[in-house]
Amino acid sequence: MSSFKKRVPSAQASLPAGCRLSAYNGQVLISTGVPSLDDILGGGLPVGTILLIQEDRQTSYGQLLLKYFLRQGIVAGDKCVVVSGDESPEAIVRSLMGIAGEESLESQVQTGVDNRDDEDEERRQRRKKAAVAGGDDEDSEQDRLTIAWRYSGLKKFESGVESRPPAISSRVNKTGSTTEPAPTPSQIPFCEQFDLTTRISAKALESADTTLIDSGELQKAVLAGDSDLEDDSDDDLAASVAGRNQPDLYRNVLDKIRETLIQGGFSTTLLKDPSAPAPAPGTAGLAERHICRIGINSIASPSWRSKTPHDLYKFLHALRGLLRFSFGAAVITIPAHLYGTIDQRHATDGSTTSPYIHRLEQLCDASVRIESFAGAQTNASSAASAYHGLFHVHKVPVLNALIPSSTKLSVLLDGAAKGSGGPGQSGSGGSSKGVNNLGFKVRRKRFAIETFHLPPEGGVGQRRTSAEPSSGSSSSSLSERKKSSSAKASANPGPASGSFKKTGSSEEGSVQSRARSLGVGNQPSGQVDVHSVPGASGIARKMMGLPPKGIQGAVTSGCSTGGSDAGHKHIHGGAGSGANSSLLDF
Amino acid sequence: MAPILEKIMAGKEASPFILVKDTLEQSGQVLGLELLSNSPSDHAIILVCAETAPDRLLPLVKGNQKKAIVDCYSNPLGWVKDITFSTTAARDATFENTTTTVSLTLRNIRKATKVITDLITSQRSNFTIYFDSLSQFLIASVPDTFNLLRSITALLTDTSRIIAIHHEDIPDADSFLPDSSSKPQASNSLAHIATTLITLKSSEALRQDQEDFKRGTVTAKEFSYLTVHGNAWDSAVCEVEHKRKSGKVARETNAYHQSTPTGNLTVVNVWDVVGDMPDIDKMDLEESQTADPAANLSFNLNLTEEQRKAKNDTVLPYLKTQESTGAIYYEPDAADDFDDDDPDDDLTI
Repeated sequence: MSSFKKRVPSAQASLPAGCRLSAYNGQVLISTGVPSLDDILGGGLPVGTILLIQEDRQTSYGQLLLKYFLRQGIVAGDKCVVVSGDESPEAIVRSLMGIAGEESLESQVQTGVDNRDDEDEERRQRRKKAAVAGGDDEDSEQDRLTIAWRYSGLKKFESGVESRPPAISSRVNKTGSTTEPAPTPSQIPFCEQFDLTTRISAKALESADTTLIDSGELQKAVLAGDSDLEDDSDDDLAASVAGRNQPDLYRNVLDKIRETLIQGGFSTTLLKDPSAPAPAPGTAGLAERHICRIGINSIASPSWRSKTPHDLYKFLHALRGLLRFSFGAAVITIPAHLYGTIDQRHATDGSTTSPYIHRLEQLCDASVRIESFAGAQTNASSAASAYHGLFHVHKVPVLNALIPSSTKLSVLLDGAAKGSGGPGQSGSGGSSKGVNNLGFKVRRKRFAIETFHLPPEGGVGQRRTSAEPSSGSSSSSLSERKKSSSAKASANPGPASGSFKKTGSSEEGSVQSRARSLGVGNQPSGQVDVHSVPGASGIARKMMGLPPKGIQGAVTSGCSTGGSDAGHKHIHGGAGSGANSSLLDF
Repeated sequence: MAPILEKIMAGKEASPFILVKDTLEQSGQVLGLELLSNSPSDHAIILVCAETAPDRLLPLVKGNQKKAIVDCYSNPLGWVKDITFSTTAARDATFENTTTTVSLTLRNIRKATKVITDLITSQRSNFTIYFDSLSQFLIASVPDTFNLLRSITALLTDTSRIIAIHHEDIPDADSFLPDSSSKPQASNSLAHIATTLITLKSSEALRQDQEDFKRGTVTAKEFSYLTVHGNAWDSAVCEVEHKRKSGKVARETNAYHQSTPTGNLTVVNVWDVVGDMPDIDKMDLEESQTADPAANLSFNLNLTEEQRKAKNDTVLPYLKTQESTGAIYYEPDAADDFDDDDPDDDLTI
């Protein structure tokens, strides 16, 4: 007779709406509204933490992320607190994005509508056209591989994180019925798909539980305490006297946030009514709980004025303390590019972090930085890139642990090691933590963070007929790619010499000259032999798992001996050297 | 495609806040005044004089718009109390438009903010406000200057503009404090709220840099604030960074040239003024379109129908292994002989 009792599933499903448990350590996570950002954080933003977003110059992608966070909160029915000084909080809330697929009541909504963005649209169009034109075209377009069929079983390289399709049931109003049962917590998706081209619907705005704090107003109230509008002559003295007695702006904002948390019952330690009996501990009460999402737009911007820098440190410290014992999380954007010492004045793209910002980062649990190409002073080559900017992750949340959960769970942060490593690679992959360069792009309908690939040198259409004189610089730019070593040589059929690119090679100069001589001297017949044995080793598979955009041509090796050395990739040196110099380091 | 500077000067590109950053090497006053002169005729012009005397600035502004002067030049620190001003310009008979003058001290910028905003609202029309130097304001207090600019932007209508000249090399109130790294930098913060940022560079200095670059040498520059070739009287190079309403940022390097007799400013291509500059893209760059790679080849890469059919009918090797996994399909060659005996049988060990 077994003494084990079957675990009742109903006891587990009582999280607040829109939350889920982390797969790694069981923390309660909420979504930031952007699936790729959730992935970077290790599944979502843990409840009780602060995410600091360092904004970009000239563009407003930081505020866009903040809007995603707030909008996701509205979807889940969470309380949203919006603090803003530069822009009025009402304006921010009104400009939140709408849900993808939830069109206005008049337009039709197709069942099972695909809300993917432009690229997927194009791909589907092409496939449709191909199907119409003739079934014969399918083989070239289709996923089914006829020649390289051994690769079909390989896991596809994940350069981005796909969001799940939107929950169809309770979101779509086909008939315009206004009465619908409130979705139960289990029905609310963890991360809803949003459409940047639409605005939040009026209905959602009404039902949203928002608290707006305009720090500009608070600032004026603080300053009005100093009656210096009239007094001209000794206003310095008066101001300093008055200033010492006035609470400053950050203190005011913090007080308002604390008040909201207490009133809404989000805090577990600060109770609204201390005399009331404490609610029975248990998971039953959790399902009715909501999360309080705090969004602060452009903290410490020039319009936020504080007497000492310590005000902001105290604010963040106190806020973190408040949130740790509440069901709440905060996302704060800061225009970090405005800070820096005099020496760093010219490096205001954020590449050198000012000590002030660094200290602020220590006070927050997670920190990311957005660097848009439009705002950066240099970087002309990335104009051709499909991305709108770079996304730097400075810190991920680590609560009660030593390693952040995103090392194991994140696709984006650790993709190189996880995505395509063979069994022999997984050990080294986990610890080496192939740090990807991440870039972000904003399409019509979504904001996506992906691993950043440089486009192929010179663009796809350029035909290479001579060696690039500046390939040295292009090789160094390629070293930004993922750490897996790869050799890419593109050789055109014919007597032209190819240019040789390799990451991390220390012998680039000699390699190039050898490649050139290889092209000219060693291929009298103009024949190019391709030796590639798929499945020979995990390393080969790892190479082939690289993003297709980067591969310009097949790996070629011209064998001067004419013999076949299957299983090896090598490039012979110039005519003189007989030894095989294997330039690929494994 | 017209240079963006030209579009901004003509008013074709709406830009509510134009910030001109200049240095000792190249002054921005010429450009600033030119921008001001191009404002529409129905605008009220408000000149905030902090650096130049009002009666010197007033004749330099071309155009017949209604003007108001905020005089921060005569009494910036409030040393002279209760002085009544009557501008010499108003006494001048050639000026038909009455110019109102308000004088301010820069000791208390919050009060100045109130005065200026009152002045603007009293004008009751679209306005263009011109700051001939923000440095005096910034030396007094950086956050208050921000509030001043913020309050003015709050009053902006569709076509109203703020044109401000900011001297990059003059430090502001915060720079030398020990905690300056914890305060946002003034010039970055100004650039943050400006919709157009024009940075002026001396064309002669750029030309010399280019020549050095070509020669491969770097001439040792003597430490000096002013150089002989600074502030060329007729031309300068501007780097323009313009934020459109759609959010896109356009960045260009243009130059301007002022012709002697007429005094008209024309925007020219920077290559004309400076010479060959490989760093700066020429204005008319051909667009790099991803052309069809199979377009201009001397051989045909396309397939006809029959060829495609034949291609699809080819029997690929390992076809059977695609369908089933594991089983080894061996098709014997002509040279193979099938002998079922164990070849080790005749070993006599």
